[in-house]
Amino acid sequence: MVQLKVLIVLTAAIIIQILDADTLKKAHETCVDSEITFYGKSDTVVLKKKEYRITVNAIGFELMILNKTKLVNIYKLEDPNVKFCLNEKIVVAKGIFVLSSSVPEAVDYFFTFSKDKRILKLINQTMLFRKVPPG
Amino acid sequence: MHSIPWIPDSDGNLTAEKGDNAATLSKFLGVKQEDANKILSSQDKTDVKEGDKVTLDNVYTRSIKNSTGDLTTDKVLELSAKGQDVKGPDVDNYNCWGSAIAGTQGKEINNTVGIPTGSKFDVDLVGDYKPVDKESATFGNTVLRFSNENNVAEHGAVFYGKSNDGTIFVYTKDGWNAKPEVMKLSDLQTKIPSYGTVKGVNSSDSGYYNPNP
Repeated sequence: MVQLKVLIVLTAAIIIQILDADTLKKAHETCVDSEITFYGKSDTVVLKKKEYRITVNAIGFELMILNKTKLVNIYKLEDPNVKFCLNEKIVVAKGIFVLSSSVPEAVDYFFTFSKDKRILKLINQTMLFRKVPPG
Repeated sequence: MHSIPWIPDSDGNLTAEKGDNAATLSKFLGVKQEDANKILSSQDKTDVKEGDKVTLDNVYTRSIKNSTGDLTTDKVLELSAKGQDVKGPDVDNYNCWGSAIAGTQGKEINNTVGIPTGSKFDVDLVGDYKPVDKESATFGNTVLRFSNENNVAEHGAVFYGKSNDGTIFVYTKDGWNAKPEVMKLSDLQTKIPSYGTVKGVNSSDSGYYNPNP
């Protein structure tokens, strides 16, 4: 009976390890794809590598969205979150009202949007992502 | 007779009203009269006349002067209402809480002082400040805490003087894009109602805080 219990526990541990490995592999594959994904409440817009350009600056980075059709779709998203890869790690950015000081919890970067939580018409199709300050 | 107040402009400098002098400046700034005299004499304004401008050199005026942007709160409101994005210069990349805490601690206000969350701002207020009555607020030294209906901190500003009719002026940095400026408290609350009202971390407190000595 004791041997059976040990076997069940060991089997469960192996299954959990396989699942974890799968999750990590998927996350890694997503990063390799170099996609930037905008998740709205009901829609998603995915930017492929050729559809954007990133310029790193002192406070974070600027994202120039080259695909105008997708940019129009990004403007339609409500309360978008953005996920992308940086140094092979998935990072998350969320928006705040343009006059708000409060940075969302548990994010790496933030950007500003309108009162109704939509991305404002970008200057030169470029969106600024600010690094969350330590604190 | 009550002293006649100086009126701050958006850059944090002062304009004299009829009857203003070193004594009223001393009272307005909360400094010794000899220090007020020094400010006036250094600007050749020993005989103050109505409308005279007095330039102040403090952490607040320096932060406004250092801003290379033109995004006033009004302009950010106007552009965002039209659906247009705004982008402040790197030098203005800090926020209300960071500037209020740094300024009232006598530290220079720049793009290293940002405080990311209202909860961290509250921790700073509870740990390093004491709640005071509104009437005990002093120029450049008192933090105002704004919160929403659930008493979650939404904004912070610094007391920048009060006129005899009760008009309170504040130094405020509205979000991460706008340049800092000085304005009437009532104007700030009208322009950005989402900041809520001035309220303490403990709701029984006034929402005005002075640094611990």
